Amino acid sequence: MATLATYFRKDEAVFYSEEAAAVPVRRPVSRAADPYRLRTLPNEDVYFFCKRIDNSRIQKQKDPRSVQQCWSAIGAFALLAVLLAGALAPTVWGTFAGYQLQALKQERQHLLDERSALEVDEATLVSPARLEKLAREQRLLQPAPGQVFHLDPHADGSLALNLHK
Amino acid sequence: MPVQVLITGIAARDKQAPRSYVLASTRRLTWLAAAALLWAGIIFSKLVSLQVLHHKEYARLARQQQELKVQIPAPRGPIFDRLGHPLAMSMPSESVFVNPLRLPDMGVASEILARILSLDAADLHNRIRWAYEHQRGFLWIKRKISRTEAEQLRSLHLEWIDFQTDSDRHYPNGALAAHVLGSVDHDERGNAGIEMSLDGELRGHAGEELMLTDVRRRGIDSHLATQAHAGMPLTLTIDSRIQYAAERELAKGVQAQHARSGSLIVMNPYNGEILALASYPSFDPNEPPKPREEASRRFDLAVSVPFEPGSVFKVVTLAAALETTSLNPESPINCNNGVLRLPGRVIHEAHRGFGVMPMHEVLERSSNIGAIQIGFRVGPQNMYEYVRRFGFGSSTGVGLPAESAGLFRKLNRWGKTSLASISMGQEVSTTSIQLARACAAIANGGLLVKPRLLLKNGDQVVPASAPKRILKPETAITMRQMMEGVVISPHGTGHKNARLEGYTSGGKTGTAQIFDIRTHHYTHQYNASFMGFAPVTNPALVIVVTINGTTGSAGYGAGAAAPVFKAVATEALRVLDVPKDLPDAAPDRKEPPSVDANDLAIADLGSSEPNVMEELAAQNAGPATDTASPKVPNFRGKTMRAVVEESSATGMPVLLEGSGIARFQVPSAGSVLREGERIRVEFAR
Repeated sequence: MATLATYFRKDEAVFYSEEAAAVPVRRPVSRAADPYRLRTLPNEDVYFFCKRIDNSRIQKQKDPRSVQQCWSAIGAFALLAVLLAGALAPTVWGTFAGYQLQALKQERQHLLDERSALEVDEATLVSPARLEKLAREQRLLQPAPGQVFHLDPHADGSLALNLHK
Repeated sequence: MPVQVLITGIAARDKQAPRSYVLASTRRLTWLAAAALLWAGIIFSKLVSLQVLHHKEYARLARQQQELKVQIPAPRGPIFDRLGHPLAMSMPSESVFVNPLRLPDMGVASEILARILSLDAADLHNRIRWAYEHQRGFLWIKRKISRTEAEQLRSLHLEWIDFQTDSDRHYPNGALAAHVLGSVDHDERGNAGIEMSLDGELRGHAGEELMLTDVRRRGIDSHLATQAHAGMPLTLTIDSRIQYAAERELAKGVQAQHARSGSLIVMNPYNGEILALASYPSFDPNEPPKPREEASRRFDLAVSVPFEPGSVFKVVTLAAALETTSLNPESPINCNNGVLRLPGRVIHEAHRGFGVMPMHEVLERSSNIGAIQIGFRVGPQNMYEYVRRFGFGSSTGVGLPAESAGLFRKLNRWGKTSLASISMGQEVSTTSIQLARACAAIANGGLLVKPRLLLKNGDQVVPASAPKRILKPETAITMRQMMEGVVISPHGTGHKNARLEGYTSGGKTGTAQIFDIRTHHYTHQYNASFMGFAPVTNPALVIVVTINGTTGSAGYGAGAAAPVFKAVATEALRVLDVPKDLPDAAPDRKEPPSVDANDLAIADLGSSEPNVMEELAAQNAGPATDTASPKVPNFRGKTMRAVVEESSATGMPVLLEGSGIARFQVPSAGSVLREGERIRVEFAR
């Protein structure tokens, strides 16, 4: 780990790591007496040394309680996450539903506008003037008085052969 | 495996640090804590300011930023005919506008907009520049653009092009029933016809909703601020099939006579429902009025323009006689062989004189003197009473704007010959709809109905007004029979042109000279009219046809209006599926040589009374003057040669009759000569 102290005291760190046991701790030189030296840098009096630890003989002791605690913690966090998600989900869902709703509203309005336009088109197409023009083109004649029979539909909706019923 | 661990240590300087160092650290820490506390205090105070003190203001600003006011369209109510066919409907449309102050380049903008919207680029550029120079932040580019144009503009994704949703009124049948429907202005406010008179019901009230938007102005949520109320759909009594036939036949009739205009009404006599109401010339309500368009095209002649009815008014005279005198259809009436002398004036029969004949023949032959004689028997008081009973002189309340009540003078303002004039349809002005109502009263058995155009208001059926009895049923039946005689009698004026195939019909022809308000004289142009009904026994419809500005003998009511009645009645009866009451092929009656279709109610009687049309015009618009037209010189006492020379010099056409010295002239000296009118000068030794 490189720290500010190791940066300024690299040589000492190496030295202590290799000969920590053998070499006595060298005290920092007091610089107060030297007026030409710069002021003390922060953490100057912090030093590092390496200590060799042999933990190869250490065996981890079984601790079922810690496992349980670990799972409990995981469960708690999971529960919290679910609760948080549950709390936020309606808002998020509402936002997305709002987008969808507005889009559907726009589509509905668009369809209504389209229907209005189609109704105008339909009414224009079946206007009496246009129908008469088409009839003239096809050389159709006006029906004579009494020539048109209006059939009343049966209960089942059929129209055929009920003229005299 | 041994692990090398870097162990940090701190020299125990603190233990050895001097007291001043500790104090300095403590002081620094105190300052730091104070600064942090101050910082927290500032933040807290700001929060209090934001959330408590200025909460409303910031909430409003936030709403302004996040919420968008969206207009909920409320389209104008559609208008349907009685069968549910749309006659007028509104469709959303868009209008384009820009902020001239925000345009990146006026020239480019003009080019783009002009190309897509088919506008003149230079003109548009000038408009934009003018708006820019006058610091206008809003300029309409084009209102009510087509869907294609809107899509093209939107596809450009130019942020300086703005749209506003509008509503556009469409009349899918074009000019069909234009005078009934009327039209709307740019803001969809009715300015004529039903659109105007029922504007309150038809007009919708737009709503507003507040939409919560994201940063890209996409809607997330919305809530209603103001409820939208769409306009009420209206269903009219008009039958578009009959209306079309009426307009077609009326146009044919007017054009065949080279007449000026015409009107036609088809009405159900029992409930006053108007099945067709046509005026010619017509207009397309889809098109806005053009600057030089003839204003009269938009006049509803059947409702707004009164005229002297002429001989059709004899029906009222005879009905009054049946009710108030002992006369019956067979009662002999002395027609004085065509000449009747009254105080201050001599009345001649229109064409040829009749002797004594039964009353029904007076109607069939349309004898002016016979009608006057009957009118004398009725008397002024009764005549006044019955004319009023028939509804003349008061508006019908049909529900169209600018309805004229016509003019019928009060009894105390009648002159010495007013009774004679009124008996044959002069000195009274009526509208076609008033005539239709009067005819309906005879057709339905004596009940005066109120004509109506509105069948349903939304889903609510508008009830018909209660009719008022004005004639005894037997009188109405007798009148129907006498009016049938006009059509079926060999010498009836309507015999030739008003008979229907397969149906009985009754009616009365009428021809009245048109009074020229500018010259204060009757012209040789006529209002040819026919009012009738069919079938006779149980009339399904009443039809009144008026053609204005006919000339010559072919322009009488029998020749000009009766054929239109026949064509429209035939088609309307077929459309309404009315059972026939005659064999299909009507027996071909031989035309006797005595048939005379001349039913002209002679107007030029030299009456000293002011003309009723003149009086009506004065009431409506003040006296008409025309200083630009030439004045008629006085030819009286001059020789024919002198008259010809003077007329040649002034360029005024004359019609010379007789020989000798000029004794009489029409128009009189000093009056204004209308364009196309000739001066008739009678010479005598």
